[in-house]
Amino acid sequence: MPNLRPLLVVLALVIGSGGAAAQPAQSTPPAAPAEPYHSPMREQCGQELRKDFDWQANITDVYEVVAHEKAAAKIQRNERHVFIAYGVIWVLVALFVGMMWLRQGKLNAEIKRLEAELRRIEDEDRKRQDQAKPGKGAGDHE
Amino acid sequence: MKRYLVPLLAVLVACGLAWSIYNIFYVAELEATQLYWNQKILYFHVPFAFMLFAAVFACGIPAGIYLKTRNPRFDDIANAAAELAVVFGAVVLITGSVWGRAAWGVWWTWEMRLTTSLLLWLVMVGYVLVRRFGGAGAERLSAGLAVFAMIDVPLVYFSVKFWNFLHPKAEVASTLVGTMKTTFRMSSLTMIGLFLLLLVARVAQARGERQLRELRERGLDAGILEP
Repeated sequence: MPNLRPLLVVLALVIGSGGAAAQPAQSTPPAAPAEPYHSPMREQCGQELRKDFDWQANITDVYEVVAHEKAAAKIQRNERHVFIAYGVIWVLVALFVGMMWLRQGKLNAEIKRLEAELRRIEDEDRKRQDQAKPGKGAGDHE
Repeated sequence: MKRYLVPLLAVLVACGLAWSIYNIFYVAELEATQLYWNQKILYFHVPFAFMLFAAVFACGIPAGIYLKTRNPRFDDIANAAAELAVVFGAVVLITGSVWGRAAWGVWWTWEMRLTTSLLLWLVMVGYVLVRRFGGAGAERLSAGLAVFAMIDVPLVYFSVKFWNFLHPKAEVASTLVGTMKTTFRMSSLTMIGLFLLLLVARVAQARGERQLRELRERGLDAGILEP
């Protein structure tokens, strides 16, 4: 016969929570929160659980699944992931644009510098060639 | 006209981004069955993925033409698009990983869509690295890589059809309704604008880089610069 005790425990919890949910809404303002309920059977159950390893394992199995489901639901509803995703998008795009900006600034400066330098050299060459032509001040050098 | 293209696109993209962000977080309904807030990652993750494909094609096709014609203008386009593919690919992989953590509980899994996307991204990273450190002839080598990367795009796209694992089907975006659909369309349009803006600006820059190289060569020939 299968061990039905964990199932009974879970069933009792489900019925208990269902009953609590089915209670009509109170019209009077809620009273100050009472002390959390502690079952007088705790000690006895604890003692029994410490002796019954199979029961212990069964309860652990059941609540492990519940705990995992709770953790999964928490992750799914957590806005943190959305903020991480959008943060990453903007950081990467901003880094790329920033890098482009810097590179363009350097390129423009370098192109201007080289163009000016080339123009100067080409002008000097032209002047030298003009001077070297016969009859155009070729004798001035000598 | 060409002069005003980048500022005009920048203004349009800025407006589109503002509109998209507002709609994503304040107008689009909350997907209240499975992913809740995490579903909002889709509005940028999917358009970025499509722009990654566009960037790979924008790199691969000009690279193929460059291999045939040796016209450096096509190489400029390929070079610019490759960098965009790396950035967009990084965005897709990271936002996808965040999505995976929210939806499946893991940051990464060797699922077919994820693995082929990572492969595509690595090929594009390879392109950029070859361009930067490959020395003489790197243009042709990287052009070959870009053509190879294009082949991976259909593999990434159809991977969810061929091998049905964890990743949602490619048609998931078409199942959106109401304000979700409008928001998705708008954010997709904005991403197209962002892609074009960055591509046009980066191509102009790549052209500038080439002009600089040519000026340097002229400078070396004229004896102004030392080798």
